[in-house]
Amino acid sequence: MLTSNDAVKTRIYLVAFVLGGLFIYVALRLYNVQVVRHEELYKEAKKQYTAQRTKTGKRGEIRDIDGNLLIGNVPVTRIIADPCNIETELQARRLAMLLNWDFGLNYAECYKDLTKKTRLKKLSDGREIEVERRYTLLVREVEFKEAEMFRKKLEINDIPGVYFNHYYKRYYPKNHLLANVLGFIGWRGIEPTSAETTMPETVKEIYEVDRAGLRLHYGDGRQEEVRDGEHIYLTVSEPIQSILEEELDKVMEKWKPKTAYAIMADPRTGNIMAIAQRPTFNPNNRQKMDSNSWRLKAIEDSFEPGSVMKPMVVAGALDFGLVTPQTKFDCENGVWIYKNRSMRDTHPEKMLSVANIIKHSSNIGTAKIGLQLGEKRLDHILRSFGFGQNTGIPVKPETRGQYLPLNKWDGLSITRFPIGYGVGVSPVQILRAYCALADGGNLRKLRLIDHVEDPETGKIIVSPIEPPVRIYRNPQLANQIVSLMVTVTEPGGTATKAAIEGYDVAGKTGTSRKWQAAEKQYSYNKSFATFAGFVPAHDPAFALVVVVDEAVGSIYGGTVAAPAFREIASRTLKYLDIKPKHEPVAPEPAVSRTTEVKPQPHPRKVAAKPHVPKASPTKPVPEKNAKKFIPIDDSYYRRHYRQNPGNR
Amino acid sequence: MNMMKGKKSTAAARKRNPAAKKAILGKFDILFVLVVLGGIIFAAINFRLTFDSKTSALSREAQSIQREINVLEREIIYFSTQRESLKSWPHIRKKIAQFNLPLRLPSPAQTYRMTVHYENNGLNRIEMFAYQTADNSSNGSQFGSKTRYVNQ
Repeated sequence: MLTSNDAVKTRIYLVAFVLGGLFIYVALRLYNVQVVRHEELYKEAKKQYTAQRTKTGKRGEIRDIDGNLLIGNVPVTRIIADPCNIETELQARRLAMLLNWDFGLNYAECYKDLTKKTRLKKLSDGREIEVERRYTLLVREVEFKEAEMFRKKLEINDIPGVYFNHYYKRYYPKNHLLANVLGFIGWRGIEPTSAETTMPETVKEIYEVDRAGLRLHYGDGRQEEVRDGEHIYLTVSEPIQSILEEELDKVMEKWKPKTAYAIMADPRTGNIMAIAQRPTFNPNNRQKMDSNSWRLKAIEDSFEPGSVMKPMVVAGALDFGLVTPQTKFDCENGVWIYKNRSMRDTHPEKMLSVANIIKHSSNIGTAKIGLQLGEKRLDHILRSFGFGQNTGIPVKPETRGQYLPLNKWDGLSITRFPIGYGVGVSPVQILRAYCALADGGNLRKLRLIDHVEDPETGKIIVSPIEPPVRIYRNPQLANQIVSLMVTVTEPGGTATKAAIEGYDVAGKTGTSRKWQAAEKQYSYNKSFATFAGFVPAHDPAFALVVVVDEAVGSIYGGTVAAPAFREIASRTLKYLDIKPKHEPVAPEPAVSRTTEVKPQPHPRKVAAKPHVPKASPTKPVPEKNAKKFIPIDDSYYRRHYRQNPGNR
Repeated sequence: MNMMKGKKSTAAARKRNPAAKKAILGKFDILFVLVVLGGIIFAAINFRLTFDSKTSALSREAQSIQREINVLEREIIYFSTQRESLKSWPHIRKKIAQFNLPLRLPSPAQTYRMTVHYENNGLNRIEMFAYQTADNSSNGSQFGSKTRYVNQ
């Protein structure tokens, strides 16, 4: 029989044994958990308390030279739902109804989709099991305002299980404007070409979260800031681009051509100021794009330019000293047979000087200048004006045109190339050559990207203006050829419709009949009507090329393209505030908003009426007309603006 | 019986023995220390819990503010693109036609150019240039410059 002390002892041993056993179990368990399975369990635990997400910055914007947005990013939302989180049938019905009201989705289909809480999942062994359905896409690309309104409605109706996935979509705020040049990813234009610059950085962010999934302020999460893509500033000016596009629309309406394009550049820098094409497309709505409007034909396509080639050939002949503006050529009364092939002039003449060959656009005269130059010199001249080469525009693909190497010229090339037949050039190549003519024979690469800006640091990388290649051996020649080109737009020239009152316009028309491959002859009624030129002739603000492909009603550059050139140029001169060279202009009366707009007489006519005393350098100037700085007070402005409220 | 006696004698002995009295006080000292320590630990844990809950609340608030900032950022971008659409020339042209506004570009003769020059006398000289004719101006481009002085 046990005494009480023995009983206590036994109990103590028992408890000590149990506790010891427990301790050993815990120790073994701890060893197993902390040492043996450490890696496995640590990973599993970490999976539960850490979250990761991929952050992407915004893509760089594309702007014009003044900072007007051409391609930006617009916030859009993808609305998704977790059917398992939509607790009641009523909530599903309400959500389906909201989707129907706000986004026009089918109510019955939405309801069916939201109440389907399971789906079949196929396992690797081929069996199918039923799993919870936690994701369904409701609407994609919802605009910011609509998404916010929908979110508020969900809050008011207390509908759970709907999530908003925000992201940015590429957006073209100016719609058609410059669409062919801007392009889009997966296609052509500046957008895909400069994707490397505009593309943002993507970072993976790992952070610790609490039980509710909210981010913890402590923990060893890595937080990396994303980097937005760089902004690109083009050399294009939006207002001038608008002028070009508006005038091309008028050309399309009047002449119903297949295609029309216009390109403008600054001859002193090679900056493309505007480049437009019709037909075009709206990059925000690509479903309606037609195959004829996709490509940037002004850069990708080449055509036989016709007479717009003549100034380059004449400039080369003048530079080599083979001719002067007064040198006369026999133009054969309009018909000339050379190597059993005839050549005709639209305006038949017997003898024409080089100046008149340009003015009247004589094919025979120019072909004879080509013969005088010889093949080698002619090839050198045309190549030095950039034909057969890329222009420097950073848009791919760019055609180099079809320009045969010298050893492949046939006997007729020497007479056909000078008049723009037998060679294929792109409109941008023509523009580049005319920029060289306008800038005293300096051939520059064309620029489309002005600078690139880092949105975070503000650092600007300017795309360099490369030094030009000098074409002329004799720099004084530059003025001679420009003066010859001015005569083209003067009375008696082939492009009087390109003349702008008050300004000297230097240019050249081009009418090139299209080659009909099936009939193996040039078409009589299909042509490229072209006008290329620059204004003001001796101090050019811009060079401009207008090409109209297959105009209906007329085939001539002087009739179809020259008026468009005049309209574009005169509006651009006004916009750029380029003062007319030689005509007085009196201020026009201000136009009231309520009055009807009447056609305004040209400044030359208006200015003829008021007599303004001439300021002679030898005679003292009358006090009232004296040119001096007059300190004025507020009363001057009040008086002035009251009399001429619109004249500021 | 013996045991009971023994107990009584022990209690009596403690009452009498100052050393035993001191030992009992010592036990209370330990208890006091334990209570204080327990209190400190409780306070620390309590503080930590309160701190954590406040931090979590602040974190939640920060996240909701962050969400609002994100919404505002997206709103700013949305409105800036809208503004760009509205100020595009095709849109302006449409509105000019819609409201029949008699607007046109000024001819270069109607334009004035204003330049502000800083001068040492503490005034800014504002000049206005108006083009007039080539005939009455030697340089052909400026005429009738108006100057106005304003304080800086």
